[in-house]
Amino acid sequence: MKPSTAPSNEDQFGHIVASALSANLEQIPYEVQERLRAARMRAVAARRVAPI
Amino acid sequence: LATERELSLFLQSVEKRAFKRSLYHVRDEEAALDIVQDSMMKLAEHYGDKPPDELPLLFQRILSNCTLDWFRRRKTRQSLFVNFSDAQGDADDDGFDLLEVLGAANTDGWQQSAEQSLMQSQTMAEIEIEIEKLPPRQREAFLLRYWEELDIAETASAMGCSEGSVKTHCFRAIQTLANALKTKRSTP
Repeated sequence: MKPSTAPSNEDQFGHIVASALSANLEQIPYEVQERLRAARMRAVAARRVAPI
Repeated sequence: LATERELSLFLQSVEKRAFKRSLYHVRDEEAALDIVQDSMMKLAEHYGDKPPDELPLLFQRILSNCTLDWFRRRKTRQSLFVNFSDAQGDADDDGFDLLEVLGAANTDGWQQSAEQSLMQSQTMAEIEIEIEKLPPRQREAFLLRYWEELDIAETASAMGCSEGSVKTHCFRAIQTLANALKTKRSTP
């Protein structure tokens, strides 16, 4: 088992800033969210399937 | 191997961050959408049969490459490849205390108080502006490491650089962000 090490101040700062960025994701305009959803559906439809 | 549902759930979990990450780089909403769409399609077409745990790193690599391709097409590739030496003047290594910047009152509960302080004293927009101002390689390393939560080796792999470079990019990004936020906090 790896010994647990406390995150550095830099790492903690980085994660806090990242949390703030994540919290702001819901501000993405609805139209953009819909286009992302549509792109996701197209990509999934084009998904490569491993040969059997 | 990733099922259709697993692929869909994975893409759903990363699509907004991917859009914002691209937007920070290209600063063009339409272009950022195109980059994310291309990245999703490439992941699905070429790696849709990979195990689910391989998808995050593959997608980040593809997204980075698609962003680079966009810059190449626009013949502004140099704006993403900032020479490392150019970034050396960004950080002021005067030993300021990150905890102080974050407003920590004490080491026991500092994370909560720091987060509260940060959220209270800075708007989201201000943070995003500072992220956009970072040199591109620092921004990429910072976002992959802390937002996408890749480890150092994965970040290095996604960026095509050494682990040492990732550490340096991240360190400088944090110094720059901390300096900027510190300045804003001290400005009435």
